[in-house]
Amino acid sequence: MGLQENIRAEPISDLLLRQAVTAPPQRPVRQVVATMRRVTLGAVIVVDEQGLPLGMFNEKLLIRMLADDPSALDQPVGDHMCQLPVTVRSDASIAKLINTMQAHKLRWICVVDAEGRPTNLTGLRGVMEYLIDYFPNSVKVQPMDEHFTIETREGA
Amino acid sequence: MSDRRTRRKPDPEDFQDPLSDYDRPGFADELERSLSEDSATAIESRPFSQVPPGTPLRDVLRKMADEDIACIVITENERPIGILSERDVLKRVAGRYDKIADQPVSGVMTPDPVVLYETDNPARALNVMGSGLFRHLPLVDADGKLVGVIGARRVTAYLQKHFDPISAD
Repeated sequence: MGLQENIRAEPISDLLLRQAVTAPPQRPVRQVVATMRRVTLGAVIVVDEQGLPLGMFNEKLLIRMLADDPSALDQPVGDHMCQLPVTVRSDASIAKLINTMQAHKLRWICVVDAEGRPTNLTGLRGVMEYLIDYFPNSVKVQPMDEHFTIETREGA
Repeated sequence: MSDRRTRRKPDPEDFQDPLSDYDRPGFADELERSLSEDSATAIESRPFSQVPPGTPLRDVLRKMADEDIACIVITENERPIGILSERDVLKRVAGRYDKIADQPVSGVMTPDPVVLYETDNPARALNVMGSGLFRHLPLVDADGKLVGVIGARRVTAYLQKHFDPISAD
């Protein structure tokens, strides 16, 4: 099968997914940011007592907060999260994920289980890396660093 | 021996095209061709933002927030000397912003970013970004001057442009 068929047939669970990190809405932003830094993850899902998603806090909101009012770092994350416009189930197709992310201009998307609880996060990077793997002969042979230049002539 | 030294008029029948057994690279589809043969400018790289290295961090974050961008390039004489991404802000700035807000951005930027030349092909952009080491790549012209920035969204949009319209059902 080619790329076109695969992205329609393969589920999101085939992508490299990150474990979702959740936080209650009353947790101070500063603590949430410390968690993001520790696990090197760009987004945290804010959940209610039942574990259902209320919203998301991410790097973009962090930058906005630092620019507007850094003292807000001590306020509850629930006051500074953004809405989740859409979530996806892990059995949805990768094509659906790509379409959804581009349509809503999302950098992160929350993967939920059958009950709607967050299980994983995936983002544009995961999608990009998945797509790149389809072109090993074109892509993986490219130089990583700047153009190579040969210092001395080869041969006689 | 003497036969070989004798010059005679070349017979066109003897001539063998040195490229006669050259196989042009074959591509499975239009996307694979574009990855290898197009230039990196096939990936959208504008708009983008740049600041000089002496800009206070406070102003840089203001600019990133106002322009809603995930990364900003630090340039000197139009040449990229560093890059500051959302991830850099999370890792190096957020924990001590009060102390460093008025310091120049050069103190927290990632210096000497790997750049992509306009003459590189899209495949190189994908390889560097797919390595997981870099989230954004400054695009420069032959003189090394910044002409754009490429990130994951733009790469995904480029790849998507070459699919048949995707039906998700």
